[in-house]
Amino acid sequence: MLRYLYYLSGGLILFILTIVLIIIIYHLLYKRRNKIFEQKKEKWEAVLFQYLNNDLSLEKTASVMNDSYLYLYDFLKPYLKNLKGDNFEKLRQLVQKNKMIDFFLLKLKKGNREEKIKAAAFLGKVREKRALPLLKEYLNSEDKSLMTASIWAIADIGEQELFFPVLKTVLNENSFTFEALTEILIRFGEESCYQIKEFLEINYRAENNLTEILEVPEYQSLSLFFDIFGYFRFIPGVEVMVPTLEADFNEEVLIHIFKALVKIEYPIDKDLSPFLNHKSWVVRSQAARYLAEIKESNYLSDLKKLLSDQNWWVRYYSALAIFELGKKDLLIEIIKNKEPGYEMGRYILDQAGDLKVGEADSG
Amino acid sequence: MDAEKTDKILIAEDDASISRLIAYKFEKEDYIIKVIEEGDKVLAEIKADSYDALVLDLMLPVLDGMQVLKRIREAEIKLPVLVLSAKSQEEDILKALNAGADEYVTKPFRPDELLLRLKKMLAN
Repeated sequence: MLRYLYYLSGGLILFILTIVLIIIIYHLLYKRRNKIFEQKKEKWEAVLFQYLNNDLSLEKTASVMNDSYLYLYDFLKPYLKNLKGDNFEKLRQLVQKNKMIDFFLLKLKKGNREEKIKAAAFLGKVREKRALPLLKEYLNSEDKSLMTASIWAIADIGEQELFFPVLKTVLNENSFTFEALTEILIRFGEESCYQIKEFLEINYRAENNLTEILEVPEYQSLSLFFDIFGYFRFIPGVEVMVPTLEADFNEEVLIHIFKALVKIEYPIDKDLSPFLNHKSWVVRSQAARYLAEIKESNYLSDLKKLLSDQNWWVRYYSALAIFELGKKDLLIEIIKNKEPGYEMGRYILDQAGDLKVGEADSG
Repeated sequence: MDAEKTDKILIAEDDASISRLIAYKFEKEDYIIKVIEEGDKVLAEIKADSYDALVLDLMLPVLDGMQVLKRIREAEIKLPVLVLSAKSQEEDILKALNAGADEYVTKPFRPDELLLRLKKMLAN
């Protein structure tokens, strides 16, 4: 028994020592890598700044920055992300000249897992179209990290032909939040809005089936599409949003339509009363918010009624809409007479710094 | 000596690569540059030293740029502020301008444009 315990404790000590040794080795390697990176960074930074400022030629810059491509990518990452126009073009010329693009194209094809992921990210950042066939192939990769890196890379390159393949992949992946989905698709640029519009028009003519093609419930894809329209303030998108704007349609979609319409600030020819009286408070509030944005005065009586809605946001946007319609006097009247919702009227006038509030209160 | 060339600029930016690039560009024009990486230190720095302009990132650690801007204006400091931010939506820009920013440049950006906007802001 004692001997057994002796061997067990010996084994345990050996195990702990091995773990400690591994940690020390990793720590030393990490420190060494950082030291090398810092040394290279110092050298590269001085050269890069001169190059970007047109004080050094492309050839000379490329001759200094032509080794340790994996380190070089880490160094260039913040500049690729934050610079645009001629500065971004200069960076692209540099990574072409120093053969960095060729290196990463090879890594994307034949590198190990980490190298492939890094190559995808780099080639996306420099918008290298030659990477697209492989990136498209990796959309179906079993390796989720490689698939994700390829999605972002295709989006960064902004290849319109791959918009729907990427859309289908991201919609069917549970790991993406709605915000991440939107951010990915936005990177394809405003051009993608025309593709979406055409796709929806075909769908409305029942010549395709959105749910079958994208393999997700209709409300998910529609919400996403309308969010993108809103982001780009895509006025032609209003044409395909309006037919969907029916009070009994999916609430989430209605909310996204109103949010998009608020951003686009475009008036529509549709009776909005059903939405101001909708069972969902979010729909009611967004409809009121839309009226505030487009300054539509046909719904004044609905808005006045909504001042006493049970939800704060509905009351808020209704009072805001009345104010934005230039009907300050109506709000003052409501406050004076202490009519339902007068507190929100006072709140809005107070927020606007309107001097007549005191006048109303004293009245 | 040109009065413009002695202007002292405070850069509040947490990405050291970007702040060094901006500093390089501005120093080439003979501006005096100081860089701060955390939002909570900006107000104290402005009060401690005299600056001619502030280049302010909105996504700063500890205290974000919008809060920094609001505190500067609440303290009635009339320092010209140029916001440099990745937030590119119209509402973000309007929010910053309403809070007292004098200029707004979105990331990704062109250092030449940033310099021109700074000069224009200082001239005003």
